[in-house]
Amino acid sequence: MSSLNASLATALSGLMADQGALETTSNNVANANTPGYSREVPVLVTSDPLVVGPLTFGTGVTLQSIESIRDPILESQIQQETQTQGQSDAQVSALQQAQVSFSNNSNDIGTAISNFFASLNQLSASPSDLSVRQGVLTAANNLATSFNQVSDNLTQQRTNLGLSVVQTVGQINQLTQQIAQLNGEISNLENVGQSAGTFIDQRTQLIDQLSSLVDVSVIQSDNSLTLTTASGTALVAGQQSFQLQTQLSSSGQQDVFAQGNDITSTIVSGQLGGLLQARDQQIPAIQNQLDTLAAGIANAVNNVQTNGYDLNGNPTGATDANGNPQNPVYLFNPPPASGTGAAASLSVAITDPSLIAASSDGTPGSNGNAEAMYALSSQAIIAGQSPTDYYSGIVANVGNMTSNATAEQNASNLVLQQLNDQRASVSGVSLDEEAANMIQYQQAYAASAQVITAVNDMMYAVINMTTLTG
Amino acid sequence: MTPHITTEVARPPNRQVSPADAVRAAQASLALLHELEASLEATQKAVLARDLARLDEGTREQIRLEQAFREQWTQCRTLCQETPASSSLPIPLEPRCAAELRTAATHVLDHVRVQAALLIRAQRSLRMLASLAGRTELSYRPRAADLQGCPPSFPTAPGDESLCRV
Repeated sequence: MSSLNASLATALSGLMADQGALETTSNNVANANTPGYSREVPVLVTSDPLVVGPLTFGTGVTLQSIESIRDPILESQIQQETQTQGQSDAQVSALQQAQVSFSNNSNDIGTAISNFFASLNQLSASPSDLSVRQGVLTAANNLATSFNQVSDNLTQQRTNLGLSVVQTVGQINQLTQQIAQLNGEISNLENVGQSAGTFIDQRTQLIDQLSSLVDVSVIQSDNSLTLTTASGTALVAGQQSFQLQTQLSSSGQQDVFAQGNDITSTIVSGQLGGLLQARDQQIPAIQNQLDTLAAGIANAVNNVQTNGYDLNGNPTGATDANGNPQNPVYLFNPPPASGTGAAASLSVAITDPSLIAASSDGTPGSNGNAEAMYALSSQAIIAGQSPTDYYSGIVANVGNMTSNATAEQNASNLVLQQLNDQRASVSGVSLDEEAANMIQYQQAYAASAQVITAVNDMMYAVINMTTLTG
Repeated sequence: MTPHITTEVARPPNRQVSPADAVRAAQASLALLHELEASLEATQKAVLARDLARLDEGTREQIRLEQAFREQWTQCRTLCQETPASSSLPIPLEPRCAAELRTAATHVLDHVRVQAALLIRAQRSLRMLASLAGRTELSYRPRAADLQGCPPSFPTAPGDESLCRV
């Protein structure tokens, strides 16, 4: 049955709803510049009506919930792109450092190769000149030192990348712990029908941060959220987080483990993926090429060296009666047979310049062997290329890898900028819109208050009427 | 890392090539490279905005510019090969002009790399949207429509109408 009290209650529901809506607007305005904040909207619904006989009376309005505006597809795209960005950031940084070792300067390998062959050219012009012979040894030492330094730099860089892997894993563990904790709070609030928008925003931000570190797949179920790596390793399941560990492998590198399983090779994206790819694939590939070059030069030069005669007319590749070499005099210490580590271990085998085999017939004035050594500079002795061409290939390869990684980084920045703009247009706070909402709620509140005043007056009239009649 | 540019000069037959010709040829190449760079910048925006019409238009323009650039260099080489060995060709370009050419070429190369990376992302994103908009009963099996002309060796499950039958 309709009554003044019912009217009062209806007007009061309006006051309460508008007050709640105004509070939402107020919160949106306050968080207009908060990173990661998603704007909230009040969800107003009509209260259940009251049916009295043939009449149905409305009973006002209810503020059912406060919803945060989000686009899950957009969020997913941002997370995916953030992973790619993290990966390319790590790769660009690593490759730029590697590139420094190949920059053009007076000590680079390319210059050292040129100087070494130039010294052999001089030797072929003055095969018995001791100072020229000393020049060849100095150039050979410089060449070996250049290889050693670049190889050491790359090895050191791999070690540093390993330390970054440990740091990154620590950050991942911290984030997954926080996300699991937030999952609990969100779940608790949602279980009692309350809005967990603020916690969801915080969790989204943490997932974004996690995405920049490792490849994350987000699986959202009704009341829970699960995070795994792209290969399915669990990181967070509801309120439980699974810690990753690092462990020194037999190769001396820090590998990543999850619940006892080595997952290093399965991490392909995010900063961790980028670090691992640079450490385990890109830099070792450069090191392999350097080893091939160092071993190729050393073996080719040694082959020619052991086919000639030193300044005293002694054969440098003396053989026994069966033709097997006996105490051959090498210019470079022979590199490992596999070639692995050749650049790091390249060194000159002799200190006496007279032992260089410039002569091809044992006479001191002969330069046949020196010319043969110099001729190596233009011969295809390393994987079908001359030493200089092969080295140019390495430099071009490093530059290419860096340029590709930089292009990936630039593309990620552009795409993320675009996606973040889109997210801002969906989830961001528009101050104009909020100002309009504020006026709307303010007017509705004033109108409800007016209704209450009117009902109050009517009640007063009723009370006075009772007094007069009583 | 900058690409190596050898600048050879186009010259009309029966006329001595002058340094001014070299500068003109370099400037023409430079203009083409700048045009290509601007076009690539525009198509990057088109890819981001998923503006297919603008992307298509930009790609056509880039093909035209690339052909024009290629023709110019081919013509230069042909003329230079016809020149007697005693010729002073190629005329060395002044360092500033050569540096400008190298820089422009590097910019174009960088833009091309970014463009390729953006296109891969666009493709990935469209695939993701296509999956989301796909049938709810999507399975891991290929759709029959995708299997038109599929090889006879493709395994088919007996009684499954959705699979290709050869």
